[in-house]
Amino acid sequence: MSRRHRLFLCTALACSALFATAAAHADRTVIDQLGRQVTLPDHVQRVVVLQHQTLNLLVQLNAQDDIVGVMSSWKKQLGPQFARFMPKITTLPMPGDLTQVNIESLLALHPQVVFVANYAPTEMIQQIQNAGIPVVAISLREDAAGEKNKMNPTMANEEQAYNDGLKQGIRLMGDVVERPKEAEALIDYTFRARVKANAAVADIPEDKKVRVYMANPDLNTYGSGKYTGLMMQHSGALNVAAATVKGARQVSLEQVLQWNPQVIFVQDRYPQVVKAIESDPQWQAIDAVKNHRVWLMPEYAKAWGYPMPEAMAIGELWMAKKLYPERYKNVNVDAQAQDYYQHFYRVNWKSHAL
Amino acid sequence: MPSEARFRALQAGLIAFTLLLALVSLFLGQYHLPIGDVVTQLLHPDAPNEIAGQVVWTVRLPRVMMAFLCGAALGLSGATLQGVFRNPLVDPHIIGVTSGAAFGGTLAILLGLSPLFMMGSTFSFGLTALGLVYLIATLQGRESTLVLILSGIILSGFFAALVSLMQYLADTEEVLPNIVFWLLGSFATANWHKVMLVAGPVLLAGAVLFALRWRINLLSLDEKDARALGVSVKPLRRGVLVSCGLLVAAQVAVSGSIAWVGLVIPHLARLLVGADHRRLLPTAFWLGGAFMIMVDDLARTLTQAEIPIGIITALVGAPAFTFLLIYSQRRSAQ
Amino acid sequence: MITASLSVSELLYGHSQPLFAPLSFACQPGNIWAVLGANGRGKSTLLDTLTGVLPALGGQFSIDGGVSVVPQSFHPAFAWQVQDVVLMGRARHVPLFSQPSAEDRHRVAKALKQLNISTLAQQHGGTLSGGQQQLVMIARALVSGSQNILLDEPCSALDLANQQTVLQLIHDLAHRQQRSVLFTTHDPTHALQVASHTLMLMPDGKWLAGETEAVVTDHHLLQAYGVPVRTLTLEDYPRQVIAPLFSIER
Repeated sequence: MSRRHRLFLCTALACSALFATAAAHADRTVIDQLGRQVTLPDHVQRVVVLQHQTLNLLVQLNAQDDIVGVMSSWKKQLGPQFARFMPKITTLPMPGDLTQVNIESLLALHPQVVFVANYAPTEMIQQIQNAGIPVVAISLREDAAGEKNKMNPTMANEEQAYNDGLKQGIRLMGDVVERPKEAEALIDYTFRARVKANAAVADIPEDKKVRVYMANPDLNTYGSGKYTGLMMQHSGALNVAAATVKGARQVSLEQVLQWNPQVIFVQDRYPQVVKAIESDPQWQAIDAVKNHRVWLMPEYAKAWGYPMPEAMAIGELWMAKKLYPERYKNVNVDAQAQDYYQHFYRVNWKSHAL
Repeated sequence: MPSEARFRALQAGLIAFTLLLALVSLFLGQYHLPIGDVVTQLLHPDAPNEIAGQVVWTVRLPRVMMAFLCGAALGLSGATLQGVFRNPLVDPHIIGVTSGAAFGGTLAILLGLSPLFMMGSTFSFGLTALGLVYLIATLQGRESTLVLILSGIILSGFFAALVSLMQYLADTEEVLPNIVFWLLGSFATANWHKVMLVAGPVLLAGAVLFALRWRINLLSLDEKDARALGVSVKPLRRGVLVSCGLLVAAQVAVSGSIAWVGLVIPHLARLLVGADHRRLLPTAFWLGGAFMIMVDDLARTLTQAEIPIGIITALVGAPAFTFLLIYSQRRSAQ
Repeated sequence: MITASLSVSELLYGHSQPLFAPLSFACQPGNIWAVLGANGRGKSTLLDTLTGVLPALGGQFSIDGGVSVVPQSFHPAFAWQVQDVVLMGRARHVPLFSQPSAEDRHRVAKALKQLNISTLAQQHGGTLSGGQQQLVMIARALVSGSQNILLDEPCSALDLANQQTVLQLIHDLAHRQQRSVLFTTHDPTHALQVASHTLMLMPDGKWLAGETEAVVTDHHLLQAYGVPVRTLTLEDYPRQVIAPLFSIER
């Protein structure tokens, strides 16, 4: 038999063998957030997570024991403190990252499903799929068909897209790791807490909203189309970048000077930015810096491009109270945080922020 | 200097070494396969051990072959271009194809194109860059090597600027990492489909250049000299440059831009067999392939994740090149 | 009547403007033509035109049996071996996608032997002396099998001994191998030594062509170079020599 024929035959055999094995377990199919139909084994106990948002959510769904491999940049994305929610993470293998995977390392873990970001390269998704491992892509955003894979899709209604997308994503994860009850509990708690938190600032008119800038390192920020702007809106604030900037992008100092935000927030994972801004002479002219309103956000206030339930449930509350303290005089944000952390992270909330 | 017989022996040794290296590479990888399993798979491909078969036949073998073909393409085109441009400091990137292809790929990532379209975009922009190089040269009214080099530099700069523009337009959290990773080059997503896609141009262009290997000696003469010998310089050079363009564009299309290989390998080959392109071209071909297999083995086994191959070729290539330069200077000074 | 292998008829040549009045002369096998003229007069340009490197501006020339040029110098970018350099002379005889054959290599060996440089065969071009380099270039022209061999200032950079070697070679090419040889030089003595005919390129676009004795005269040389010369006949030496009469202000 010629070499080519042999190759083809063995590949076909390998594939059919895989299907045969797969069919031996009962199967189910799910639709991931890229619209792909994915076939999974009925019981999934070996999961590899190559996306930090999904990792965070799986821990909150109490599924961390099923995780056998994580992305190599989890420390950078979630902060090293994340290990206290999932101590074993420091010893887990790291076969890949958001945009690449070492297929052999992955195969060595014998995973039953791999979670990837919706923007993972198609080639990477195909490669994992071709190796016989189901891939579930998560976007936490419900886009119009055809824009599911794009960055900065034009969203007719950003709010609805992210709300529905988060719910859909959590339910999908719950389905895959067989924790549907935990998924519903998380969704329920989050959205209820959010409504309560937002109530006090819901009536502030647009022109009275505090003007806020989200400072990531190197003059990066979030414009429209990202959850960040929505978080600010729910907190009664206005994202100065939303009007002219689309997506996550680097802006120029001149633009920031022109926006002249009243408040500058910095995410918990970038503490060095606060000091950098406060000591940089070029930033001194900005209202927020002059009035010492450059604030590091607590861990749960994840003002990311993608929504996280803790950001919605308590992050928005924290931000609203920070901006409008008089409206939240009787609200104890730390107590709320403690409640959430006990429920979903199963540890105490300890503020290590400044 | 090696005589004909010694050259043949060297050539055979090099080919044997490369094949052996390829074979050994099948035993290497993050997925621990006992040697026995690999051997069994190779001897009995219909054996029922499906995970071992999968690793050997659909993961490692296409990857090793792709690394070989890409490395060979770079070595061959580098040696040829150094001859055509009469300058041992020439890298295949000089004809602008790499930058054009990089732009094509980056654009595809920005637009979210499917892998097939991305490879098509990379390949066509690569060849477009070569076409533009010739256009600029023609507009200047001359087609000498100096003019071609300058045009290549201009276009490389232009496309590099466009790549930077794409990076600027990209979402910093979600698209940019993709672009950066792709630009650094990788064989991580190798599969048989890609091997076929790159094998076609490499074998075709390679065959053409192989047949022309003595003529390329003539091309590396002074233009006046070559013409006086009866060589039709312009058409020959065009054919050779198009073949090199095909090689480079195909390589970038399947694996991103990989630097240094096309510069260092021809030098090493020249040290081994001399400047006669009849010997130099096949030597650079096999040497490039062997080198790339070795480097890719490092890229996929050093850590659990994938190291972009462009990083390793640069880290290895720059010092190696320095060493080769010093060594060949010493040798010619004797 | 032997027919000319290289004949030029009303040829106008130059880069953009014709450098001379229409040129006509003919080389026959066994003839040696010397082309004399002051520096920058257009001697190399003529050779370029005859080999097709530069297009003619008018008139025509015909070449029978191929033409090869021996360039003045050879500065290769790479360290070629002498035998590989000479082998390049076979370019016209090797088909496009083929490699040189045993026959080609045989001719290379023969040419090297003829010029007595067989020992240099595997040396690198960079290690040769000026004279040896010229011989290699001549060998390359020889293997091309062309009937007409043009040499571009073959003696200009050589010492007397090497000049002797090359002039001997030029003589042998014509008389032993029946080639038509044309060489440029700015030393009129070379013409007297070996050339049967001379083409003298004068100022103002004029030229003279004919048998050497008729063309290379004191009067013509003064016109061509602007320096008076005296043709000397020596008792114990068969050929005349030209002595330049420089006037140095002392």
